[in-house]
Amino acid sequence: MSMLLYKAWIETRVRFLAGLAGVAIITAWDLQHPRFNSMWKFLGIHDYGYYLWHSLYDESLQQIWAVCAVVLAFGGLIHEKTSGTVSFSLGLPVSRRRWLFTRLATVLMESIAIGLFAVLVIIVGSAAMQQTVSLSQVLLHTALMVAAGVFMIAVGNLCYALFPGNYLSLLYTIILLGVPYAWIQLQMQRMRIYEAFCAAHSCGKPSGFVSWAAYLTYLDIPHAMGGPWQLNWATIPWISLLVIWTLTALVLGVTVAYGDRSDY
Amino acid sequence: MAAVIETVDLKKNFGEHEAVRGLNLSVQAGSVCAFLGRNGAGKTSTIKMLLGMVHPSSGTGSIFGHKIDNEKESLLIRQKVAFVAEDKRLYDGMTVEQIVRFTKSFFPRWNDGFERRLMEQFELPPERSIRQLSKGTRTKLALLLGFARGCELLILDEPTEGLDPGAIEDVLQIVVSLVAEGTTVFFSSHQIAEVEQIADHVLMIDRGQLVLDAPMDQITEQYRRIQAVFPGPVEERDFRIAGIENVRAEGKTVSLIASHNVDSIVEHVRMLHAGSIDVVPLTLKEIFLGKMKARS
Amino acid sequence: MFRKPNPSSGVPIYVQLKEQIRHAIETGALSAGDQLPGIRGMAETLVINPNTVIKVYRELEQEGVLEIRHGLGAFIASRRRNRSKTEELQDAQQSVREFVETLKKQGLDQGEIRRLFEAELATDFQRSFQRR
Repeated sequence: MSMLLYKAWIETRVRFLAGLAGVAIITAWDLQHPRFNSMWKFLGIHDYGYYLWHSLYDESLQQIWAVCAVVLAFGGLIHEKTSGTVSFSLGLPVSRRRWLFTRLATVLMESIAIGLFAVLVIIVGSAAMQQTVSLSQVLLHTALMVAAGVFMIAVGNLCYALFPGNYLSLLYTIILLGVPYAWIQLQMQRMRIYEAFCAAHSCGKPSGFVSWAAYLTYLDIPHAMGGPWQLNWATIPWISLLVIWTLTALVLGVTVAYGDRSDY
Repeated sequence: MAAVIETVDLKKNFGEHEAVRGLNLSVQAGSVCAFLGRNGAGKTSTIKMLLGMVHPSSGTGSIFGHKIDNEKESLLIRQKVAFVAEDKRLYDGMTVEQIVRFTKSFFPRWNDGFERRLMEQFELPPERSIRQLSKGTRTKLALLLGFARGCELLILDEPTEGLDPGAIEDVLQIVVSLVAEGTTVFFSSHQIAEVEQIADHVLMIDRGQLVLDAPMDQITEQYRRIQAVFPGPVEERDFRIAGIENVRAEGKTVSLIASHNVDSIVEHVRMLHAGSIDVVPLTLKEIFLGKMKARS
Repeated sequence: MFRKPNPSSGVPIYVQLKEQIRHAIETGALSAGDQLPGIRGMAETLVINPNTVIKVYRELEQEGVLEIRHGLGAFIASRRRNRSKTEELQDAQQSVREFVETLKKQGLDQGEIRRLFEAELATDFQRSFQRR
């Protein structure tokens, strides 16, 4: 078992280190440049903690982490078909499922590590700027990001299995995942801004946009990953998580079935 | 004697292409069975089906009594089989030492002493990354990873491809020593010379079908080339007799390849007033080429 | 001593090996009682199938050329096994005649020769006794 994890580690370690670097850079950048743009001034929010949550866990950190998770998820037996080692791997007494799940386990552990590394950067960076930050909130947000983000890993892995091969297909997969992801996020962001505006300026009855967008909430993985600003047992988006985990299980089921049926 | 590998009417279609068409083979314990065929004849597809990498379109097979198309049983098969694939590429990111340790972890009967001897004999540098190995060294490593498993059955797909003659002889010697310990060997090869040297049973496959399935001794004892010169020109259709596999008529000379029934054939040739008749043994290569020609 | 057989010569490998062993006996390279390499050793040296070696040893045993001693291996059969008692005695008589002639030429007389033989047989008897 550990040998399989070790092999998956060897195959992903370069990407993992690149991910650590990427996350560190983006996180440090955001910490360093508080973006008090017109929108923020308009909403009248200048709290550092809120700022952190919005710019990182709701935007940039979430995005870079998701990209890392998806890129790490690329690989597996389908990739080995191209690199020529699949006959060796499948000649070993290891079932296709075991190959898949040990690889995903390694990717998950690496994704968690990347998330925790971001926490470290936040703590150190905030201290350097003499800003206080709630460690528990940061950790909770990281945990939520990963918990909801497992969907990304599963989808990335499945997409790669369906469109295997070279780096072009990697780009194709990122676009396929990224477009709906970005669209949903955009909608959600618009909705939140709209709601915040209404809360601050007492709007009339809610428009049609808000009501259909409300159903999107449960599918809004990025939103679930970001979570509300202040996290506690009550505010954790449990329903979203359940929906996401069910979807993840479905995606994994499809991946397993596809792998079982394949000829290598 | 027990059949270690057995298939019944094994078929595989890749879309429209019939790669394997109703294969019935049986490999006995302790034998060295060679699998000959042109490229694309269906050798690798058959081997992959035996190991569970490719799903048969129809038909069944078993190794050590375990079914090849059942996931759980296929796992049991692979615990007892040392497979060395045609593609000898290995995990680039690992070193020689690391992949040996990796592979060893799956085989409790791994033979440490044998591993050490082979590392030395093949001159494999333990610390070197696999990415930096030459093709020949990589092949030797791939073979070591198969041989050292301590398995009762070796399935080898083109085991000596890319090796120099000295290394080929070394590999054959290792295979022979494993056979002496009771290992069964099933190998596919293009190197007819090595097949002639160590195989005791020969399977020839062409376009997905078995065209020859016989013990080596039977082949060497029964197959003959009959060369005859006639007073006048002859036609190929004059030689449609049982046992003749291949006819080549050039003017007054005829060259026949016969798989059996040689005496009757010689009689027939004599009755056609042949001037001179020569009966000559055949090499496996000639038999193979003759069969391929007859089928095209 | 043994050459690698030529697989492409048209002569089956096992036939070639049998011939090589017979040839070795005829030229004296191998004598009665000499042990042949084990099946594995022979197969490894010549790089041929061990089943072929088994077939060769078995057939040569049936032809009386080899003796397979269980647990020990294959040995060149001593010629005497194939011959009758009369033939053995005739051979022995010839050997004795030649030896006595040799001793006479060295200058020994009949009495001395007899005493030498008797002493030798007596000690031989003792020796085999001790061996048990």
